Amino acid sequence: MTFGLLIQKEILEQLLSLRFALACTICLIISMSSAFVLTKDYKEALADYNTNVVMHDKEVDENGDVWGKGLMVDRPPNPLQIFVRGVERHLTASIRVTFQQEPELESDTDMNPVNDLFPPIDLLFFIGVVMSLLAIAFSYDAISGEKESGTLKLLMSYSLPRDQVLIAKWFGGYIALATPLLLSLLCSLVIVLLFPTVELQGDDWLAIGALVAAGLLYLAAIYSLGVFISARTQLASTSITVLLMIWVLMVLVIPNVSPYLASQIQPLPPFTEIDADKVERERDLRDEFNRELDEFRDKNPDIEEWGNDGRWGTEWNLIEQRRALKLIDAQSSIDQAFVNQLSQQLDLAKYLSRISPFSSFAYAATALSATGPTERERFLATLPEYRKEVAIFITNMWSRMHAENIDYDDRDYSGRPQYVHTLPDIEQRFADSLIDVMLLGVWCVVFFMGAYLSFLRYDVK
Amino acid sequence: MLLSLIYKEIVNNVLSLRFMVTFVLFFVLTLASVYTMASDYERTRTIHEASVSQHRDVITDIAGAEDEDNRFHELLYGGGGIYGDRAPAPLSVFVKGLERSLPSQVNVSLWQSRKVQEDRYENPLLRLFATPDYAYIINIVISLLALLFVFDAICGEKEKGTLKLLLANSVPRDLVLLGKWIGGFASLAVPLLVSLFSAVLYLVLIGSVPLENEFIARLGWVVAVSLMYVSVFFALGMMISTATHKASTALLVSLFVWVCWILVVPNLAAVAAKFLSPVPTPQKIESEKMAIDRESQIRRERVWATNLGYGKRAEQLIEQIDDDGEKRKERIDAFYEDKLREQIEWSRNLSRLSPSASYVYAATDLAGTGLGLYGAFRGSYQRFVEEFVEWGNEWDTKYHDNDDDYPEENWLSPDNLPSWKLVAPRLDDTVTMAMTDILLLLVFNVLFFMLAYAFFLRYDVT
Repeated sequence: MTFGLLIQKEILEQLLSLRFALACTICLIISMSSAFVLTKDYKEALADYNTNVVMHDKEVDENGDVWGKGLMVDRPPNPLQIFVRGVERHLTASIRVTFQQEPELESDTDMNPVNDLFPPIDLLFFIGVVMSLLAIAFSYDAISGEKESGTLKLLMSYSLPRDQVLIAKWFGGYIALATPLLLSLLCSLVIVLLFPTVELQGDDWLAIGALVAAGLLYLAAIYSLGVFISARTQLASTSITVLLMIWVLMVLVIPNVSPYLASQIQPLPPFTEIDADKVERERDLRDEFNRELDEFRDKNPDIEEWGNDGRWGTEWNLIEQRRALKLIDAQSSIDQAFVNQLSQQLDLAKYLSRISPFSSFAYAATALSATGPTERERFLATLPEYRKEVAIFITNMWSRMHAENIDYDDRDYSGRPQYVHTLPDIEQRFADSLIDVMLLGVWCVVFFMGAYLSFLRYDVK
Repeated sequence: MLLSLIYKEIVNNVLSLRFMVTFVLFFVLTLASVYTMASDYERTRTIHEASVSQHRDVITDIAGAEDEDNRFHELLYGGGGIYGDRAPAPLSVFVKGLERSLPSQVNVSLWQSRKVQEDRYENPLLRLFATPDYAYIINIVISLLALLFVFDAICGEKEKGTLKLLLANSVPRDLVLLGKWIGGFASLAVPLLVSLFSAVLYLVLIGSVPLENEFIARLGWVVAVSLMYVSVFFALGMMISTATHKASTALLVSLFVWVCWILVVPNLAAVAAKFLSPVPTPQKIESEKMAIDRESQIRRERVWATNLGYGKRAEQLIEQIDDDGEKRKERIDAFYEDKLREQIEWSRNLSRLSPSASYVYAATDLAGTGLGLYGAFRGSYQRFVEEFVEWGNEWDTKYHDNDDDYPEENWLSPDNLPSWKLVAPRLDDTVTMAMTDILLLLVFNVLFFMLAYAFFLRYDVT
């Protein structure tokens, strides 16, 4: 009996089993239906986004009031959200940026609340939850099951080293697990590409490739865990009980509890305090503005307030501009201080939960697809800069209009600042996911070594 | 006879490894979940109280100040406005439901009204993974454990050969099945109740939730529904066990059924409803309304352009145009509401194909954190805005009529202002609302038990 024959035997045994048939069906059904549904969702979000952009532009051009209503920033949907929905509930978002008020994502209760009760099924869920359960179903009886059926004794009576037997078993089962996964992923990619509106760029393909690779690594870790436990137990029923308990804790409990635990260990100040801070700063700056205005009035007694010569209006707008820029800086630095604390808490939660490979996979997948927990903050943090541009633009414009005595109806917003939304580039995403991918590799090796060591001293009788 | 069958079943279960593991897991999970959710509830409540008093302070600061009318006027027209705070539901310790996605504050002024989105200031991981509340533990974890408990009830005994032995006695098969069901379910329900009881004891000891009658009654309902839900899985597992002849096959089938039915169906159904019953996006509604505004504007300009520009007739015409526009906008809103309601109904009914969805609806409704709370929130928010706008305009008229000074003394106090009242549905109403889902769970229970019975009658025991 040779090593090649051994692998062949393992693969055949798996391929002919009931679980392989069930796994294929389940993989195809879930991944294709979810690809169809999520792609359609994305397509609609993209259409919404395009209408919004046109509508918002038209609104400003036709009857704009940039002073009072500001400009709208539309965030385009990320095509990778077809695969990993991530943290955001909405694929696209519109946010009003005015220079007086802080930009705020509107809390949207005009939506179907049932979607909040049942999150959509994406690749993260499919591989992370469904496939990992399948990995356990494929591996729980690898050693102990064969012992029970008596064939292990038979197999060991050949002159085969145990390491070869174990490696053959590992590969046979893993190939049987990975085949339905890769096949169904291929099918779902075809479905995604059948929708002509979805445009995946070169970077997106790299990210998808890395995503699948991370998924395979994660499944290898879980699969090795299954073989490991199987080699530690004598009965298949014991091994499945233990494995399911571990699976429940690892996939369903640890990731969910860890953010709550982190908020216990490292509590944040209540966000109402931030509001109070901001209100105070705003009042100070309003006083400063009034003082500056008074000074100007004292120095230039000849200028009539809001006079027809426009001199007052010109200066007033420049003072207002200084106030607005200071206000924006103050508000964003208050936010920044809070967000720093928050990201410490986030990091703590991540570290706590990384004891479970599922969390690592989730972090790697969201980092690769730029849908992770820091993504919204990254978007919001770019807004103060844009808000400053809006403030400078509008106050300069009004100042000029006063100086040149331009009528309100002839206002011209054509030079208004444009917001450009960017996602982190692919190198950045790889760097962000590196630690979790490495952890998955470590788990894989640790569990396999555990399986190997246990199998070396396994009582095959 | 039945008693000794039950007794045998219980002893058999209690002495097994999985009973030990399940018991420990129940205990650890329930306590961990209640501990985390209780501290989260505590934190939310502290923030809520701080925020209520902070919002009161803003008003009391203005009240009695020298330029109180002026400052209040500023507040009315956009300088902050007034706030309404939503207190967290006490039962969110057990069933968080939609609490997570509803805003905790609303804010109105005559310039704008909005729901405050504070989730920028909380850990974003909370949105990545499902909330680990008690309902989640029951819904996902315990349902799986229940299947694990029962998958080999019949076929496992057949493999061991004890089933043959058992039926060699003169026991009718229905009694055997019933005995297995009662014994097995009892050995699952007891650890469940014990761990829940210790969790409630913990809550009493730390004193974080008010143990009022209403709270206890709601919790009782939630527990009853949870037990019903678990028993659906018990009956399902039994059915699978009577339909198969090998324990390993039964286990695989159970796992697959669980994955598809619990994890996949409700999630897909919720999204599928989006396509079967589409709702225009809020932006589209907004742009339609803007189009109506523009049209009204053009019509008004036409009136002004004619000779009738001033005078009674023109006033009448303009009033008619305005009325017309308002009515059409109201119709659009009503249309949107209808569509949304339709879609919610669709997704609700589609997802009810899975008992997991029924359980979630029933538990969240009974806990007061479900779709009822969502509806109440929307309704009360709209009422609050309307009430405030009316009140504010009245105030403004009086203020201007009296030469920019409010005529009455001591008129401003936080208690005189319109306040936001979120009236959650009462317990009786929620029970009625949850009845469909409770009945559905009952139907699943009976159905699976009947099927198990039918299969077992013709089961080949040798």
